[in-house]
Amino acid sequence: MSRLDEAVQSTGSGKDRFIADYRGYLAVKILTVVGILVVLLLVTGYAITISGKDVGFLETYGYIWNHITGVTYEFRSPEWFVDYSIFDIRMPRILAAIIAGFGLSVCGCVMQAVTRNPLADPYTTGMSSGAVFGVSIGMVFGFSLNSTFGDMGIMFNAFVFGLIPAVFIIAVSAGKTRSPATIVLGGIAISYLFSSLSTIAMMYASEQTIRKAYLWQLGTMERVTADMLPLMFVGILVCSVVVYVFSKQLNLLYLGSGNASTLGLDVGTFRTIMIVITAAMAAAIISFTGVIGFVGLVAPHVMRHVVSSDNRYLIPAAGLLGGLFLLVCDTVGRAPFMPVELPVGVIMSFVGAPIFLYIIVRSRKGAL
Amino acid sequence: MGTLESFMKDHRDYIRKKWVFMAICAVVTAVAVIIEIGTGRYSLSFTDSLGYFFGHLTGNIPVDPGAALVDSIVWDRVPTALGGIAIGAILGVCGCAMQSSMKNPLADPYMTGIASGASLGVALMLVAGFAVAGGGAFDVAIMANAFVFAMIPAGVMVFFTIVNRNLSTNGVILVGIAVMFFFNAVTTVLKYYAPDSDLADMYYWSVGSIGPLNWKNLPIVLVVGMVSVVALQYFSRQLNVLTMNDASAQMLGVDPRRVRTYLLVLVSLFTAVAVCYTGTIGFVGLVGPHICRMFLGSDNRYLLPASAMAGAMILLAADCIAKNVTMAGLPAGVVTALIGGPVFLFLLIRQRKSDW
Repeated sequence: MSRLDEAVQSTGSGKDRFIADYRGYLAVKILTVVGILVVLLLVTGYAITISGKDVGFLETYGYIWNHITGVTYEFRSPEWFVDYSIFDIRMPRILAAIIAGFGLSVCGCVMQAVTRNPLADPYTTGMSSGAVFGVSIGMVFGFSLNSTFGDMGIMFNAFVFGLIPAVFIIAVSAGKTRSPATIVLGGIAISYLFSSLSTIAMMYASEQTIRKAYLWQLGTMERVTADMLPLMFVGILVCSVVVYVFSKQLNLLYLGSGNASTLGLDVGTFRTIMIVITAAMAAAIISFTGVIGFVGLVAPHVMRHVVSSDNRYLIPAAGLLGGLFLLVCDTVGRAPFMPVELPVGVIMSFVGAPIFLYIIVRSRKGAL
Repeated sequence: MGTLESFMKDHRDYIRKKWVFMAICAVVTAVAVIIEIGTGRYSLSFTDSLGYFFGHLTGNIPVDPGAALVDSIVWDRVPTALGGIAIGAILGVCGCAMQSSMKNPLADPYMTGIASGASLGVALMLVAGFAVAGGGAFDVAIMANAFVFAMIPAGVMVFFTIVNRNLSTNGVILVGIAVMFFFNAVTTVLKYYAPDSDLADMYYWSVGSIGPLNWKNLPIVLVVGMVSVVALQYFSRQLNVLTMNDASAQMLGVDPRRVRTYLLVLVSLFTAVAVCYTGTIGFVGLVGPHICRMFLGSDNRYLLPASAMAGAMILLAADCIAKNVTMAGLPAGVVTALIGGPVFLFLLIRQRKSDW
């Protein structure tokens, strides 16, 4: 008797009905992904209309279509200016938000599976404090790890120092059943350590340098320029694809390391690979954009309710939602009704912290 | 196995070990006090500062103008040293109570979001000029803000413990952390609008220092220090019972939820007092109790007072190191973080269940 027949017998419903149910279940997942994509497209259109040259909401799609199909405008004609402002000024920022949100959410999904902890996220594991320390010593002492000065050196510092806490926390917590509280407390203690190190650096800094270092950690899409985008896009894409290929193995980790190795997974090696990939991905994003917390916490959490915790669907759905979420926050931050432009990292924290609280308070006893 | 005599001997050795440990803490602290009052812009040798200290205590205030000046300099450093002892004791004993009641070795007195609340209060005063009290006096207003806002996260934690009876101990910890994240976000926005000089002030405030202690605020700090040790000592037996699981504790007549809530409130109160005078000095409340645990085991009747003494010793020693290593006058918080951070990482890696 096949497993399908068994399942049919045990539920007592007809075989056709069972298959229809399954198809419906799949359709929900696919519809969710398609729905998020549509909304993402709409928000992108709106985000383009904000600030600078006036472009209508529907007009923007015309310009995008023309740009893709290769229509060129007369140099310095009104249309040329609009096309230029869309693709060279506004698009990089929008794409950066989508890519960063996507990457951080994928990192969140994987970190949560590897640590078996619903609260793991690049921010709660203390990555940002490490990155801020890297930036502080870069700005104050001109110290950079790859001996180039200026922005690239600073970014490289942020990348390397951001890796330290994440790798440490995840490596320590992987494999053992640590409570979520322990992991988060660990992240906080590491950020105490790094922020006092940053403060020592700040004691040698002028007030202007302190301001510069502070502004760096706010998390904004402003610094991402068009020439950084390809690097960011390809990097995140490659890492995400690699992670996605292993989504079935990630699912096995939900069963605990004992069961996972019984089912043929080399748990230790697999975990290490996943940790290195996600930590590198998150640190890279932070080095481009500054500190952006909670995307990797919120997007996977919402999608776990909608498309279940199956990583084959969770990773793409949460990634897209994260991209959408970050874009919306960035757009809200610079929307016309705001008195001043707020950095996206700040808005994320305002939205993310209450959701973090909600996850804790609503979780069943024993789950946390 | 052993006869009654050998058993009694073991027990006496155990008790003696506790007293020896506390005596060592006391001696080191006393030495640190003397070094502390001899260090600063005008430094004295150990014997000199010892002489001036006891001279002043016994009423031998020198008449020679030069010596009288030295005497007044030394005497002005005494509140920093004594207050440092009180602050260290508060942090140590509160950290110990927090670790025992939450059954989490990584817990510390700031776990209830006190640091973030206090920073928010300070930022509100410096940037927005918002003060809950103080009537115009700048220092008082900052302290009042720090104190009041430090208590808010603990209030939220208590609120959720009462509202949501399913919340586990770890859940309570995480609620505090959620409030902390939110407060940090608000502080970040305030910093965004702050002028450069205020931003620098906030950085220094966030790493604590016992420098601000003086004769005026010393009495409050000392009284709170003593009250904190006595009050938490009162809970030591309940804390011992809490080390078992909650059901067993209940059978022995201890309501775990109630004890935890009381302790949460008390610890936040005491720590908020410490923080509003000195800023957030990290890791003293984490490392102090752990050192004691290594030597004394986990009987809270001895652990709580020993943690207070170890906390005082660590803080004062850290301040002495900070003052002597650099002439720039590094705040004590930097040194405690540099020492405490690695200890913490070690604890995280080698987390054992046996001492709990």
